[in-house]
Amino acid sequence: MRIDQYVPGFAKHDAIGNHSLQIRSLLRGQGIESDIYGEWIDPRVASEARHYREARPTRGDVVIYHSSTHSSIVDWLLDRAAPGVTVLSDYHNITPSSYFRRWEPAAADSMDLARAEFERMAPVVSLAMADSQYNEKDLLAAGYGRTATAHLLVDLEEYHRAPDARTLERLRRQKARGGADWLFVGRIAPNKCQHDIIGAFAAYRRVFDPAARLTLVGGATAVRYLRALEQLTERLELGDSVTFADNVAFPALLAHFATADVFVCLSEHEGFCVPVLEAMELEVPVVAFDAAAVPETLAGTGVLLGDKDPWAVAVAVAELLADGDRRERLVAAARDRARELSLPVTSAALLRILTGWLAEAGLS
Amino acid sequence: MADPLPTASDTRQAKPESSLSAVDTRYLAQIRGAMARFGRRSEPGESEVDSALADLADAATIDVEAPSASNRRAGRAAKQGIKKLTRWYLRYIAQQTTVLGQAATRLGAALAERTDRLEDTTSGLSDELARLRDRVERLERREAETAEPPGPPPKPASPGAEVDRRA
Repeated sequence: MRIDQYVPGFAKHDAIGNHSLQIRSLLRGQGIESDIYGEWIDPRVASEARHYREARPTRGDVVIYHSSTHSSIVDWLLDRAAPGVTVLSDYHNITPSSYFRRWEPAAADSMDLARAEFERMAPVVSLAMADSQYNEKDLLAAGYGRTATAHLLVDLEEYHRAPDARTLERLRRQKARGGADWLFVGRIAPNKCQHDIIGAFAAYRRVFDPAARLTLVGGATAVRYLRALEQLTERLELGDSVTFADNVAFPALLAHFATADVFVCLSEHEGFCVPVLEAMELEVPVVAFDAAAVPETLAGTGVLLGDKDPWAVAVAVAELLADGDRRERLVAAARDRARELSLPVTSAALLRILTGWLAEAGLS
Repeated sequence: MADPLPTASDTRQAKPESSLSAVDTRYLAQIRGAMARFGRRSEPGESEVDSALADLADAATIDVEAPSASNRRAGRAAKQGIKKLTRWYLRYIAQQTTVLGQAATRLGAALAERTDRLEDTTSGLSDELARLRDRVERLERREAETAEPPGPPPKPASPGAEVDRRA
């Protein structure tokens, strides 16, 4: 028996890509043969994965499909599930298409296809794992029989490497001029609601801190949305105080975290939200909108808002930054919470789920 | 991690919204208006046309308050001066552009509605056509079943008759 993983997109520094690499290490550590197959493979990590059409699953094999986006892997796998290949799913959530319909209709169509594939897979999946309880509810609603929550495997030790010196120096020079640094990390996408962050930041800057800066790190998956955000920034007269940072290398990302005063996440749809965990690990206090899996990841260690009104968010950030003791308490609690989500803990939990299921299925 | 950096020291204690100046209140209203436009999500079943019309409706209102922020004080003063001097002219143009935008939105909505009605009619006609085709086939089958059995095959025509027909 072997356990292979199938990932629609396998990319460098991608949460799902890293997660699948960690699972492969875990399985190989148990003496189980395991490889990764993808539909699209980032050339920079081409040595780690192969195209799924090269795979030859045979009777008795187990495959884990990472469900997050539309992929032709699904139908291919469903064809192969019949002759005795056991299919497991690791669900990372699918963004509702309604967020993208207005900005990127083609992307919205793709999300609808992904949702249909997700539902089509339910009857053939023997075990479905979810990054969060929020995602697990989605699995149950779609009719998946056996489910379990196994958090995303994130190696938080990686985040303690040295930040990029040049970026750090540049950001520190900016900081020396005064003003708080707001940070958000995540793809520029309508469900992540960067517009709400810009709105709240505009209110904050106008009333509390005219020298404040906002950095939005992340590549654009919805280009029209990005253009609209740039226009919004202009219209709200924010000048150079808002930076859209695309193509940020990992050491430079660390520099952004090192100089951030607050991590503001007003996203409405997250299956887990790795950047929130990164902020917790790197001791940046989090102010977040109470939606999707974010409250579960934060577990009370950040400021959770039930209202995204720009003024409400601006006041929440201002109060947090003005209260050093509260900030310290939250940062300490967040660090403890990050320990609970650290790789040794989450990988042991995932392994327990997998080996338990294998034993029950008589495959161990 | 890098050395800890000082956090914002110039952040003042939060204050109630009611204490904001008129200028700040107006700015906040501007932000909220922009957020409402951004926050609109497609309704279930909303078509691309509906979505585009909603965007057009948002964009139909022209804002004459051009941004005047600048990193340099002189630049900001110049922008604000130009803004004051040209406000009457821009407002005049903006009013007409806004009316044009609203008219375009109405036209788009009317065309979309008409297209929807035509699609409904076409769909209804297709159903009717299918029903009629089905009925004709059934009638043809019934006719074939009730028709008398075919008689003996016709005699081959005589060569003479052939000649006659050609004549």
